[in-house]
Amino acid sequence: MPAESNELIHQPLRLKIMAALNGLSTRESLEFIRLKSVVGATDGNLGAHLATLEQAGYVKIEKDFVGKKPRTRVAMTAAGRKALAQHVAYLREILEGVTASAN
Amino acid sequence: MPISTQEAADALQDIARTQHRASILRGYERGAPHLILWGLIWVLGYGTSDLAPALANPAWLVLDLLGMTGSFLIGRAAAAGRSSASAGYGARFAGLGFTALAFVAATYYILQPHDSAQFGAFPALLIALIYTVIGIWRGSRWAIAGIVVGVCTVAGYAFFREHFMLWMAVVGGGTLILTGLWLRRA
Repeated sequence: MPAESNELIHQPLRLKIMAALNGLSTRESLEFIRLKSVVGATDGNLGAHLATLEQAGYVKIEKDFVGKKPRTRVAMTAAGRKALAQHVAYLREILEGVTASAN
Repeated sequence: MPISTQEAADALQDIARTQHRASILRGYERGAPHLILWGLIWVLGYGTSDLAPALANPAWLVLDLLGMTGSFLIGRAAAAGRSSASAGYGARFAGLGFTALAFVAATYYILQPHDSAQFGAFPALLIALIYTVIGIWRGSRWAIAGIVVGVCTVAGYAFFREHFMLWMAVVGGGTLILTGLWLRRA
């Protein structure tokens, strides 16, 4: 997998969102309220960054009702997993490059 | 814009921290219904042991079977979304239940408890131990639940021996239910 920098994912809160979702299996999703607790964001801030990630095709947002309560669930797409893996590989290359040049 | 070495290191640390936190919170979410279920079973089981001792054995048998069935269904539903966890789930759960029963039976056989408070205290202490050990690895809330259950069990045994079963129904069962709700809100 080629290592690539990804400016969209590198934003700190979006990076946390992607990291939290990446731990789920391909069939799992995370409720908005739980994701908010994991990444430590406000409703508005999290909603705005999720919209950006959804536009990029990295996450899928599903809204439904449990009884009368609205529920929002977020899952990572295959494209999101690939993009995160490439960005992580890029970050590791930066560090490894420094280590190699120091040796 | 190129990313500096420090930024790369910070970003990788952020990813690791977030994944760890997400994993802990997922564990709380999955564990919460089990604690609430077993809290209710303790309330009913220990309550029956205090209020109607003659019915204690059949009551515990039925309640334990209900608890095991409930835990199995809750666990299976949670594992359904994860192919790695759902494969062989039934066999693993049966293994867990059999191991716990065998351990308690073997301990009773060797240590020979001679009053009902001792019979009642041991499983509670075992649960306290399990939760505390889980907490050392998988999140402090589990450890707090284990320590509270353990301390309450010993305190009830030492100071409220005459109504130890009632104490365990209210304090032990109540602790499990409240901890379950606390985990669910994490």
